[in-house]
This record gives sequence, structure tokens and C-alpha cells, in this order.
Amino acid sequence: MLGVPLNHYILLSAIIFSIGVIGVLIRRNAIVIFMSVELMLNAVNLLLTAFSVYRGDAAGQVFVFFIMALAAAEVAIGLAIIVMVYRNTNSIDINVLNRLKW
Amino acid sequence: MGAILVLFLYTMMLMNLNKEAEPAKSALMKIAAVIGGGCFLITIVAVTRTWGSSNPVLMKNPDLGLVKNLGKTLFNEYLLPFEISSILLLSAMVGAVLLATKDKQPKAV
Repeated sequence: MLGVPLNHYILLSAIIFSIGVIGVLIRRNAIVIFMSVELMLNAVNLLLTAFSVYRGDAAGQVFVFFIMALAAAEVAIGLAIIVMVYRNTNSIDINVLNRLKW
Repeated sequence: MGAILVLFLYTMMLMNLNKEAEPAKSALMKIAAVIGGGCFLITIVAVTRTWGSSNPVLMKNPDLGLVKNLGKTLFNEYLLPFEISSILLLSAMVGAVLLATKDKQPKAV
């Protein structure tokens, strides 16, 4: 059975990561920004799993566990913050948060 | 993974978003962001393309992905991060509940 070359995994993960970065920088909706952060984390998960199989080391996949747990915790707190922002300003547009300057 | 997406859905249902008037950023910012992201992507593609043909990812040990072996690795070598991540999840849960509950009594001025 032919395996997929490692470069292909790296390329795919880099493309997904850069899409996540572009999403964080461009979009104004706070939930879409969170989804882009999740996209970046999942790109790294994919690459870690590929390298774990490539090296025959189970530590990569175990690290993916921790990254997923961390992503869940971060999403919980981040969404709670978004709900609070929405409750105060009635908008999830991040440009509204410019008001914190004064 | 699916739990995280369900969490997103719950939050979106909680907020009564009716009409999304999403005013666009200035076109210059968008172009700059796309160029920046494109440069990053091109850099990485250029780095990987010059490696020639790389080795294929073949599973030499078919027991690698089994939950049993992952569990053995997790509980033998990575026990401390496991316990600490449980504390992390507990603190995240407490923080999320604390942040998201409404104040029943009026705020003291």
C-alpha cells in the first residue's frame, strides 16, 4: 500500500493554517474569528498526527489529546466572554470593542 | 471536536442574531491581509517544494493508533500533563459559568 508523502501533509496543514490566519485577520464577527482559531489548532493537530505515524512515536497523538482539551477550555471561556460582550453592547462586531479605549 | 461545534451552536442560538449588518473593512486592509497571508503560504510552499520527493508516511507499527497503546503512553509518561489538564478544564468550566450567568440582584453602584 503506497503511503502519502510527508510533504503533502505539511502542505495541507500549512494551507489550512494560513486560511485560519487570514480568517482571524479579516473577519469582524467574533464567532468567525473563534472558528478560525479552531481551524489553526486543527491544522496543527493534523500535522502532529502525521508526524507521529511517520516517526512511529505515540507522543504526537497524545499531544493531540492535550491540544483538543485545551481548545475546548479556550472555546468555553471565549464564548462566555462573547456572550457578555453581546449582553453589554448588543453586537458581536469586534470594532465595537474600540470603546474600551476610554 | 463535535462537542466544540455544539458549543458554538448553543451560543449562537442564545444570541438572537437577526440581521447581520457586517460593514466591510476598508478594501486596503483586506488586500493587505490577503497579501500577508498569501506571502506566508507561498513561503511555506516554497520551503516544502525544494525538499524533493520526501518519504511516504507509512505505518510501520500497526498498533500505533490503538486506543490501548495511546492510553498506555498517556498514563505512563504523560500523567502529569493529564492531571493538570483536568484542573485546566475544571477552571475553564468554573470561569465560563461565572462569566455567563446574569446578575440577579441589581449592581451595587
